[in-house]
Amino acid sequence: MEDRIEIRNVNKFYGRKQALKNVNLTIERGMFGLLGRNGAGKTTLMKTLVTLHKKDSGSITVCGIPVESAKEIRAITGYLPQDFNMYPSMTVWESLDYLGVLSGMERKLKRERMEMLLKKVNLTEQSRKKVGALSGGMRRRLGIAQALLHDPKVLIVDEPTAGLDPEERIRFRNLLCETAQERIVILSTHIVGDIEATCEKIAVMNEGEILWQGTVERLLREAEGKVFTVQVENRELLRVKEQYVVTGMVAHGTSTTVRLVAEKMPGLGQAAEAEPNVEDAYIYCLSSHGCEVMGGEG
Amino acid sequence: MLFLKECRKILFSFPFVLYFIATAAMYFTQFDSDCDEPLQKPVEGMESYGMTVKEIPELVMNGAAESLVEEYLAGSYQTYPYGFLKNVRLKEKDRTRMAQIIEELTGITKEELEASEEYGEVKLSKEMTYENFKERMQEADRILGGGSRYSGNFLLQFSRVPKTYEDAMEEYEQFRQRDGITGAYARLYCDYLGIVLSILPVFPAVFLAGMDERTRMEPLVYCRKILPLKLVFTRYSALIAVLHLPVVFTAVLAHIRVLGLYPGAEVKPFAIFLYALLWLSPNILTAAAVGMLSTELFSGFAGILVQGVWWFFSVMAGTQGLTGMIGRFTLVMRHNNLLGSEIFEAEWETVLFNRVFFTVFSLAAVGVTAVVFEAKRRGRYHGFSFSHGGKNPRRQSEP
Repeated sequence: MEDRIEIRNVNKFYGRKQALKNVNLTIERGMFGLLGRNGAGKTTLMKTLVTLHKKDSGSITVCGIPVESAKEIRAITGYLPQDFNMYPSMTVWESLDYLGVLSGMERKLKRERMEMLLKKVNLTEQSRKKVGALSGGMRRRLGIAQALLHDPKVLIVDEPTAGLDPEERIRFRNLLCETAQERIVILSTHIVGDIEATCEKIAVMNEGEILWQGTVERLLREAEGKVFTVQVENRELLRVKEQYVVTGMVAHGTSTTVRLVAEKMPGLGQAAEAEPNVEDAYIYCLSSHGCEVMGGEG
Repeated sequence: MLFLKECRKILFSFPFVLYFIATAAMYFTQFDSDCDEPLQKPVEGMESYGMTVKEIPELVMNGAAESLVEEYLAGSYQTYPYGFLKNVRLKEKDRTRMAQIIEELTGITKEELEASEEYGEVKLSKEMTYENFKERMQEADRILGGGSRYSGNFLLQFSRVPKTYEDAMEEYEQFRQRDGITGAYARLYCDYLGIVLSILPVFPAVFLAGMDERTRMEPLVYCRKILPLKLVFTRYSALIAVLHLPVVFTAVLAHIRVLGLYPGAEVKPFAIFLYALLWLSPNILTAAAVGMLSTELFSGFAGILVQGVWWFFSVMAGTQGLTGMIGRFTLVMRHNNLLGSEIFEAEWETVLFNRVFFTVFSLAAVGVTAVVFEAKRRGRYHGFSFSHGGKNPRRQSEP
């Protein structure tokens, strides 16, 4: 069985609104990041991969199995949705046990994996705690445990770090990286930091389209010479924001250091080229593809 | 394994506790309070032994003809098409046909009939046979839209006669011998419990069927490899098993109560349990299946409304007669009487048809539930919400 997901010319409509536009992607073993704004179509694509949505056209194969073979796909995929919960009256252990039964797992194997996964996600001590009493971070970790319970070849996680504190976020990213060593892991997120810390290969999505795909390194390379810092008087800020895509600002009394993305060195005050980070590169990618980017607003 | 887990989910839920309490309350307030005294053996020479319905053609025909003439002259006929009283006024064409029926029955012409507002003693034509009479009554009932006094078994209500000592003794012997005491109490028990068990199971059913959506557990359940038919039927079986617990509990109590009323008497030891299984189980199966299917189709608490409306009409239909009120498609069967086993036995085929029909209906409804479940699971159907113009707000797909 090949360790690859092939998505070819996939389209999906919600009534008249096209949620996926001719999506083409090849995803191989390891961490793969799907980056895009809220509403870019990431969740629709993820749900289509795990058979919770049907595509209107195109083809998808997951490890050689067409997505239409729902039962087989469900057997080899693990899914952590963005918005989920478990029966609050069940304990952590009972919840995993219940989902394991729904996955048709053999009793002994299920018990072994539950113990192993609870240890891995650091929830062993909470195993007898009711799910309703868990913190957001703990619930997310339980979420990843349930997604890995039946040892899937593909793990799909949708916005997993939203709402987590920095410490929990780092812990969660590390957990994902560990699991990606032996399977395909797709991380769908709008948080650039998550991608930067975990993924080697990514795709950028916007309005249902794949704008760009490749390695993070290439994304950064494409933004080289396009990111600048410039020191401007505060009264000049509004004009700068109107003219350029601003990715960061640091205030110093009456002046501000602005980090911006532009095709060439801006003719403003003390401008200097800066080394792009993934956030800059992502913003540059969006703006270079004609997407409206409100970098300096808010 | 999954069955037990589903049982546990229901068993410790608030709706189930309420269901149990309400069922037990029905038992204690209705059945148990009817068991204060044992049925007394008739004593010869009593002033009255009550009334009974006997099919005496002469009485039936005279009573019905008299009633039909009275209603014709009043220009209004009382019917109970759905259990509710309805005063029917006929159009001229139907009125003329009704007059013809009266003429065929009694020989009184339309003109003679309408000559005075009241008509004295109504005598039937000598040529009128009982079979012909019943055909005319069927037609009269059809003209009135059904549910009239001239339909089927209701005709027998024109033939109520005082019981004799012998009648009373015969009934008592049937109660002791054929029903073995517990058989008679079993019908009374099922009559009361059947009312609540045709509606209450819908509450735990809606609770269970909507649990995944309410707790946002749906995507985690949907992406498991379990087959929809297996999951839905396991959940349904668990629901049915748990919903029978108050039935078992009250049936045991009822049995003990009846034994206490007739110490030393020879009784049928399993009558109450067998009646409960045959009579009450299809009610539970139906209410639970309707609850599950409606919740899957419409989300929210629509199942309660759907079953509630059905139950209401069924119970109201039963108000026409509380003894032997059994139709082929009557959800809530009634027999609120310790006696009258012969009425029940006469309807035995109807009872069997009725209970098999509701059992098959329930299983089919659960099958459809599994189909809808899989359609929702694959994103082909998103549920229908009446309060949101048909769209289920919890299932609005986000790109």
